[in-house]
Amino acid sequence: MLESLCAWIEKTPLSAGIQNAGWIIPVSQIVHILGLAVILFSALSIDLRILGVAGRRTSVPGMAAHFLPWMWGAVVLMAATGTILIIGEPRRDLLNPAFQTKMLLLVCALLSTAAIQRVVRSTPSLGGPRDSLGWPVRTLAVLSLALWFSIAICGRLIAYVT
Amino acid sequence: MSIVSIATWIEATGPARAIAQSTWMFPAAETVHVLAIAVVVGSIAVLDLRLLGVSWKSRPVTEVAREVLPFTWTCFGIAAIAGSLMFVSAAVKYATDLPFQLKMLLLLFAGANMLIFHHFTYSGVENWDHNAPSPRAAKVAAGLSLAFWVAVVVCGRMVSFTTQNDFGPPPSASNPQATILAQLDPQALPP
Repeated sequence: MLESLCAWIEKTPLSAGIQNAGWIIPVSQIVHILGLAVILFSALSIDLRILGVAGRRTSVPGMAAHFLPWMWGAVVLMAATGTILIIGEPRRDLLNPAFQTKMLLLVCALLSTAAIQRVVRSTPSLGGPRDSLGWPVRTLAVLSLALWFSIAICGRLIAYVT
Repeated sequence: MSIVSIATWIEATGPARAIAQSTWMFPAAETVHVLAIAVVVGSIAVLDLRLLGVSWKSRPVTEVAREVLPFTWTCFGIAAIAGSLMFVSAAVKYATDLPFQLKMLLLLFAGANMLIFHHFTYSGVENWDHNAPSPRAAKVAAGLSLAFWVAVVVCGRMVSFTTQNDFGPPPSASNPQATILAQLDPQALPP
């Protein structure tokens, strides 16, 4: 099924257009990496703040309120550039185990980030810079951090796995 | 002694050859390098955007700097080490590669920009710690920093399009296209 999907995508004029214009794939990859920069540092800031490891001058909701909009924006940017890369070279991505793993982890990462957002927003009492959160959210924070970094690793490994 | 002869010597050392011959060491170093540079750029951008008055305007500059710069420096160190490991494995190829040379030049620019900012502008930060945006000199430094780091990422990405390393799917009987594509268009080859 994936095989025939790839074959179909490859036949579309859009895919051919992306491949023929040599600059689209490098530019998309560069924008994709810049999006990754925003996501990884945002995840580090929010999650390490929840764990009480860094950024303790700011409250947990303050940290989340600053970084979450950047993070969701970067997710949209990466989804867009990622889609261009898939349409341009469907076989390189869709049939690749590293890519498939990445997509699975991405779903988990998005869910964990949304869960963190919900918890932080529904706990306005966490106003003080020194407040820390309970173990369920701390577990989520560890999970979220591990997921986002694993996604980045899988992304890089797409180039090496076949 | 020319750069090329130094690079040739580096490439012939034991550790360099070990990395070049290993199937996993280069990809591992590259993965660490990409993750670390992402955190460098992501963290420094937070400070630059604060100086420009784009975001986090409610917080003093010194507080943002203290929070963000440890991430920047730690990850810069990691990226530099991982990058050096990648470099030595094919020193001649990189030393003579235009995007790589540009990247090193841009790193120098980014460093010089940072030093100038630190010594001349940031030394008087107590006078404008709460201002958003910061004074013109700080805004210029922040804009340059963003531009240099984005350019470093651009050149870094171009290095792998111009100097194909020996990893990734090798051309084989089942995939002869890889060889043909490589001759026609270096961009067709991963990574």
